[in-house]
Amino acid sequence: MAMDSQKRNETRDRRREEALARRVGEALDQLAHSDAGECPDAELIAAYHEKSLQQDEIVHWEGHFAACTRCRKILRVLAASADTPLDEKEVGRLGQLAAAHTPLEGASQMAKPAYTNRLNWRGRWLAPALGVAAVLTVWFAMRPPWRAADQNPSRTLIAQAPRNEPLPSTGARAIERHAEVSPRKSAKTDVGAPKDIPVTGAQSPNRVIGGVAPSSDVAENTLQAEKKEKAESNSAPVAPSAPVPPPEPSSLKSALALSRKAQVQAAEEAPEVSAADPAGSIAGNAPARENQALAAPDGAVDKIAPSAGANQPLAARNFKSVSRLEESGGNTALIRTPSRSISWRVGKGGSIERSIDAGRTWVLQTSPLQEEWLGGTAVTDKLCWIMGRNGAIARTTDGEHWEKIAPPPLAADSSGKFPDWTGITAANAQTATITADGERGYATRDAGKTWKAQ
Amino acid sequence: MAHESTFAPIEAFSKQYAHLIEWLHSEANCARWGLARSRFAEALRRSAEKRFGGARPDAAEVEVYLKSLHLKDLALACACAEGVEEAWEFFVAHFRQELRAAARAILRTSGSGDDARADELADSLYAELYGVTPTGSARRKSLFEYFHGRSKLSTWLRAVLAQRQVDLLRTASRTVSLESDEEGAPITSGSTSWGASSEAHVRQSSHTLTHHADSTPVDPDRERYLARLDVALSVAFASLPPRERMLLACYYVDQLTLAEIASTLGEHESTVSRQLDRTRRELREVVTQTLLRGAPARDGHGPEPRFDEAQVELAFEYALEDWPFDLSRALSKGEAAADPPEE
Repeated sequence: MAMDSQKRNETRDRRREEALARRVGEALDQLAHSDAGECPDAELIAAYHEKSLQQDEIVHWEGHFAACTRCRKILRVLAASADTPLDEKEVGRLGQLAAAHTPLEGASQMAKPAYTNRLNWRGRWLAPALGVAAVLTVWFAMRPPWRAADQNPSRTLIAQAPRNEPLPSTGARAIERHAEVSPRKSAKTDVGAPKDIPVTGAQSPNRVIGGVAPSSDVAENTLQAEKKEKAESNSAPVAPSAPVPPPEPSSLKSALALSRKAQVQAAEEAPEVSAADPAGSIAGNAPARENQALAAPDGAVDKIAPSAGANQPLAARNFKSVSRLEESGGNTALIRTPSRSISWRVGKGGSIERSIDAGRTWVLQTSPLQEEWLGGTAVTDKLCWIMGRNGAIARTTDGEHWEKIAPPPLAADSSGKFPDWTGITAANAQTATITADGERGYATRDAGKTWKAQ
Repeated sequence: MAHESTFAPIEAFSKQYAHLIEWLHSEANCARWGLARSRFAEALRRSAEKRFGGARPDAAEVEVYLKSLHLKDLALACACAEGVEEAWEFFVAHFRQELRAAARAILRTSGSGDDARADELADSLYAELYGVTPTGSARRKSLFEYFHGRSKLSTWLRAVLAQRQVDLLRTASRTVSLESDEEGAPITSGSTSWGASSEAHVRQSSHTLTHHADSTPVDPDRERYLARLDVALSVAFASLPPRERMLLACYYVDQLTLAEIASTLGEHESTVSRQLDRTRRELREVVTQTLLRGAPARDGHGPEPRFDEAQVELAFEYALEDWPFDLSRALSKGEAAADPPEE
């Protein structure tokens, strides 16, 4: 009874709140434009949109926007003007892929020709990846009987298999076997071949893109399905750190991009499964990689619900941003801008790459230093600070060109060696604070010309 | 925000901030375009003048402000405004596609997916950016002179396009509404959807209120309670931060979804949802407290007696019905005035 009463009161309060809010809305709607005061010019609107106004200006102009229909429309249009849809060719390709994705019963007939087309298209680097995947398939198929008795054979397998274990190669036969497995539930994620195929025992920091997988890894597929369901049951938007569901068909490009990365990593570490898969088994097995919504998952989510990509309040609004050191691979750190549309990837040898399509493709940028970059922070889509070993600091203010920032002299030891930085925060192009393990931080307000110990 | 300008003239400004201007000139890579320091200093001064206007900021404030500008974009804009061909070529090469893409996205939002029109919209900006006036007057004034580096150049360009498109649609909707008024028909044109929906909504509200007034006997208590509610809601609205007022406007006036509001404001959808819920709750709580508290006599008006709980309940019941609310008191510069309640 008490609960019913409480519920009634809550309902009553909600109705009243809605009624009052509607009245305010109607009154705002009836305001004459002159009541709102003078409208800001395009530059102020642009600066507000970028959240680069000072707080007093924000308060002033938001008061105007609350009463000015015109300015709210302009803001709305401005926000929409940044949406960049797929071009026609991409839409056409995706349409073909979607049409080619039949239910699993027909997958054995479809997968082979679809795979052949993709092989022709990107055969340069997918062919060897397919070979690796096929080897793995055969290896799993021929594994000792005692492993099959295990309730979670694939999980155990993954735990036991060495990272560098070579993978069997089976070619087309593996595809057919894979196609016979039917672990998936959701029609929209069925893409001819099961997506959430386990990575295999060899844990690559760059996940499996393969559609080829051991047909006997049903338990692992089930695990992947559970992960997907869990991810789907979480309400939108998908936070950057949320478990990544198996990507939608629209993630082919990202799947292929990750496959490219897998090839690169394979040269350094173990040969990994990275055969092409229409949907891209981005989910992967390594739990630590769930946060690597580098490409397809984020990209896919963005396609479905654009607003879901704006997951966090823009850092600049609070004039602070924190370092977002995320492992995107064995040797790189991923830095995302608050808008999530731009990412940088930094790592060994002074490597700096930027993606402007939510991680689908990466472009190498010129680094001012050859030190290993360990991480950084992006304040806006064009302003990013990075830090690395031996006191390395750099900054870009246009998103493209990087300039070295002199480290704080006080941070050097008696031999003149600078520490490896472990954290950086930045509020704008001039103001940043940098720290090293076990050491105090150093702050600059003039882009590194001078530093103050914290 | 608009002030009479008392900012330092260029000579004093250049002298006071000589070192800073030199540094900024270097940071902005002005040498690439052959942009003289004096020219760039003038641009910096204009930017600071626009920001601070009649206020007298101290040197540290000005320095922080100038350092926060998008210097390279400002230098490029200055060089283009000066007619430096290299700068113009760079601008076209690097911004043209983005501008066209933005124009297409903008036209799509208004229901027109015509790429040719979008390219025309984008390209029409070039003449003004370059400084060719329609009348071909001798003085060449580039649109770039209105850019002061407070935002990215690309965002500014998109904002200009957005402004033009919105103003174009508003002009079109006003033209259509004049014609429709003669026929008494509601506006349904897709291309004027924004302007039309708001006006249709208001029209519908007023028709509803009129209908209510004509067909139902007036409850004498109702008017008294609504008058008190009017004051209480004005107080509640005035206490809301501008951000929350803006949220209410986006949601209830523009009829945007939470996702659209989030996209517009650069926030997370759940953040917008929480803020909206909080705003509505604040409105109710402040209105309730204002009714319970009453108000002393002031400004020639009599005191407002306190409502008890039952009266507050009744006031809210009346609030659920159609009820005109005038925001002008809440938005006026003085205190929200109150009509004495009818006794």
